[in-house]
Amino acid sequence: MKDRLIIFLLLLCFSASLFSKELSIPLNNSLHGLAEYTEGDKDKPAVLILHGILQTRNFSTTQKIGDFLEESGYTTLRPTISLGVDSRKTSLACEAIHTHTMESDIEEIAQWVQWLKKKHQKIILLGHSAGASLLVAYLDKYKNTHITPEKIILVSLAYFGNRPSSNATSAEIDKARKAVAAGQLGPASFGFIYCNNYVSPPEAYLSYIEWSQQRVTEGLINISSPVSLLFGAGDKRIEQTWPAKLSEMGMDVHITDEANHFFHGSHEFDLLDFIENAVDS
Amino acid sequence: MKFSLKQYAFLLSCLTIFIFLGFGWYTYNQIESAKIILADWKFKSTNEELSEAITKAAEQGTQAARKFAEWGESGQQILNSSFYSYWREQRMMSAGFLPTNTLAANLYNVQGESLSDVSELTLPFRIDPQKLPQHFIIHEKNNVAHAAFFAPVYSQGGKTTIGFVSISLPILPLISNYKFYHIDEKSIKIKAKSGHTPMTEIIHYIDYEKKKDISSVVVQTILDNASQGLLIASLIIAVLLYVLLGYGIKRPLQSLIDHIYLLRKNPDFLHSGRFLKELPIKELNEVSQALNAYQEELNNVYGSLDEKNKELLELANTDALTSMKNRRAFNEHWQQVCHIAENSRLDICMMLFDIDHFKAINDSYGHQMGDEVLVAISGLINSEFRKGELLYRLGGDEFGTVIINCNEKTGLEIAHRCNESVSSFNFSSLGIMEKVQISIGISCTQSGNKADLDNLSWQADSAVFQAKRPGEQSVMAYQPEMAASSRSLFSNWIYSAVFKAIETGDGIKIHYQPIVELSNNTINYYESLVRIQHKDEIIPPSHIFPIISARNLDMEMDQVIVKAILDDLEKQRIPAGTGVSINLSGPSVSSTDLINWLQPLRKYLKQYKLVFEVTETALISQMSKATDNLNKLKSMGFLIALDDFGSGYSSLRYLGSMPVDIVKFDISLIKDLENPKQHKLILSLCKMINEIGYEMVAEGIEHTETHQRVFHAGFDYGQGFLYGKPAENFKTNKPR
Repeated sequence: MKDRLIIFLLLLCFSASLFSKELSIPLNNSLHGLAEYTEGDKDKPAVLILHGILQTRNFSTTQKIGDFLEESGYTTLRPTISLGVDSRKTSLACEAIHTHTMESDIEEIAQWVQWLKKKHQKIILLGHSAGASLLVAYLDKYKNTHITPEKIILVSLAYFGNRPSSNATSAEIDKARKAVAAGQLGPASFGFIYCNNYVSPPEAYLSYIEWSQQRVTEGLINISSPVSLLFGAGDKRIEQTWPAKLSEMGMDVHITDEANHFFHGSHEFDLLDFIENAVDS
Repeated sequence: MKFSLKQYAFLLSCLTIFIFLGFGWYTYNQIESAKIILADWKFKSTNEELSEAITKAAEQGTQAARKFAEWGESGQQILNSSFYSYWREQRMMSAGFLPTNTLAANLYNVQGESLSDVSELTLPFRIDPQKLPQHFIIHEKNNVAHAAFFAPVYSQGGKTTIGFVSISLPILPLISNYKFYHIDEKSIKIKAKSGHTPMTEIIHYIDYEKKKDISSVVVQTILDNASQGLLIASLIIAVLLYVLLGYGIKRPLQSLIDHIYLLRKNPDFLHSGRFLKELPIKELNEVSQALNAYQEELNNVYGSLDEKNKELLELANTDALTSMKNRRAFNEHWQQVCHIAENSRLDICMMLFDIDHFKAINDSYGHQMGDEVLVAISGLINSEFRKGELLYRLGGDEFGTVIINCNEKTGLEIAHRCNESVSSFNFSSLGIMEKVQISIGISCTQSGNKADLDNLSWQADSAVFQAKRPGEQSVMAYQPEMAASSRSLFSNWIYSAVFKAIETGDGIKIHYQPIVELSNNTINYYESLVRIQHKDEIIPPSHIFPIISARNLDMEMDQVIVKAILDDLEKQRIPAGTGVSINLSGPSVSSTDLINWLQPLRKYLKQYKLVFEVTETALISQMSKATDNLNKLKSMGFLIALDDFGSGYSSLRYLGSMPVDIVKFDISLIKDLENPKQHKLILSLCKMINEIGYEMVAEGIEHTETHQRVFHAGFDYGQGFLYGKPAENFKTNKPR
């Protein structure tokens, strides 16, 4: 298996971009969203791959997953969530004014799923980190009215509220809530995930915070499609016991020993092995 | 004009300096031209550099504006400007998308309206979206010039313009950021200019200083140093050239020249001195070698000449008949002896030998036999001499020698030995039946006194004369009484005066006796007759010629006389239209050198009648040579007169064979005219001679009667006291 992966990685450099094209679609908020679309075998399901918070589709983990799947003959769609920036191509700094909300993100995902569904009957949704939690939120919002993916693959699924090692402390959350209560809706600096100075209107900030471990777990439970989860045993961004709890709840949870949130180093192979198995199943 | 080698060296040195300076001047001019070209190029380059720096600055500013426009958050703010003020203050400048020295930035919506309601001094509040400012705004703020840059903000991957950005940057850092080569970026200043100025014109408002071109300074320094070096080098080379030529060439050349001068001044050096110095210059060395080779050749030539000279000297000093030394050698030897003996106490002995009755032997047995006798006797005498003593043939049958360190006693012993040797010789082996004897006279002195030495000659002569006297011993030493008894007429002073006159010409006086043309009684020419004056006395010919004859000095005397006559001719003492007759002795007439020493008279032939008088006696010996000489003299224009005609025994024989023009009858024949018996004979003789064509001169005419007789006898000329005695002064008046 590893030999195949090595050959794949060598070929990746030469062929990956040959069949890819960048998409730009008007979003509902008068912005434009960008995505990379690679057409694969028609008999294989198309995979929508979603990046983590503030990142782009070119983030390394999702880039590797996408490349691997494209090489394996899967059609992939890798959108970049605009986060309020027209045709965003770069990651968004913590200090930028974050007017985007969980809902605006979900709507963009919905638009991309709709766009993909028009081309493919079978789709798989794959998310990494906050992208996985956005997929959970999207599926939670559109569980009855929307399409049903063939498979949901969540890697290093994360949540925003009550998250360990996050700057979104209770004090920060309270500050946001008080601001909202006081009608102070202008941008302010908050602690958020890894950002110390996350500038955002408090309402927009709180739209993410509401998606805590519990809220995500509830969303998972409500997903009708098969869900496969992969966690790294060394992922510090979630409560360590959470994957086990999910597993105990009967979910398809895979844990890679010592792997961190991004499956760096040799754990990349474990990640891709998991993806391969997950999309094939 | 000629220069010395040192002067040439100096000129060459000057020329070298001149060439170097000329080259240096040319190079300096070229460098100055290059400097001007370089300065011009620098000026252009500086302007081009500044223009390029401004263009680059504009590009950098525009690039910064584009980056600002492409920043996602700029578009985010244009599309949703709800929190623009917050973003502008909190985020825009610190996000790192604007240059750190950005003074101001602004966003505009698609209509060109500023998103901010705050007006910036350095940025426009509103822009024309259809026409973005293409020029830059230069505005004074805190004395800092600024430039504004604009860029559109696109959406949908650059398809749609959604707004605009502007940034204000200080222009100076942008320009100074350029890598200048010619301009000192720290010196760049933009002059104050309010309002908007197009970027293209900003160059006119920029002051700057050029960078110090270290390379050109270095090059200039190098060139200056090179120029100084060139000057010093030229001076050194010039000095070296001067020294090299002056000393390297001149000294060896001078050495050669000195050597050649030495050769010239001192011929002896030729035999010993070679130029031995090895010269540093190849050509000079070859010259010295050639000089040595030439000197060697010259040595050989000199050596050869020396040998020839020695041979010639030997021949000149040797008597051809007897192989003994001749009179010339005797004279030289005598002078050397005098030189040595003077002021010394050396015994000097002069010895003279004379063959008794030698004329009779000659007459009886002929000259050949006489010669054999001379050879035999000279050999016999010489064999009795000690080593180093030489026998000299002084003339005819007279021999002599001078012996040093020889007193009278020893001299007599030697003389006796010689006499005995001759007496005992068997002359019959030569065919001579009579006894042949010699007379020997010796004279010795020890005084070292010059007068005594001078007297030795005539004293020895007197001794010989005494020894020849009948009844006297054959060997005689000079005794003072001999001078009185034998040749009392030849006193010491006469000898001395005669010899001195021959030697130096002193005392020689020529007396001229007129020879008159009988037909008109006019002086036709004069016969020159020699006298010697000593103090107040005149020595007559009768005293002079015996000494001359005894010493065989005839030719020398003739030469002295000719010289004196030449002097008179030169001084025109001899009356014009006349002539001179000169007596020549026998030895002179037959001398091989006669023509040469008479040559100076030739030039007076046009003015004077010049006659040489020779006697029968003179013609007897060396007849052939005498005839040859007289023929040559005749052909040159001289006249020849046969003197004393009729005094000898074979006058007619000689007259027939000799080239004679004039016949001078001996006085005895003229006297015979008085005798009736002989008168006819003389007349017949005169007639005969006259018919042959000879002119005739009658001597000894003292009376008018005699004059009449000779005139009638057919004589052409007359000479005698009747016409004039021999006198120093010329008689020019007509005789009676």
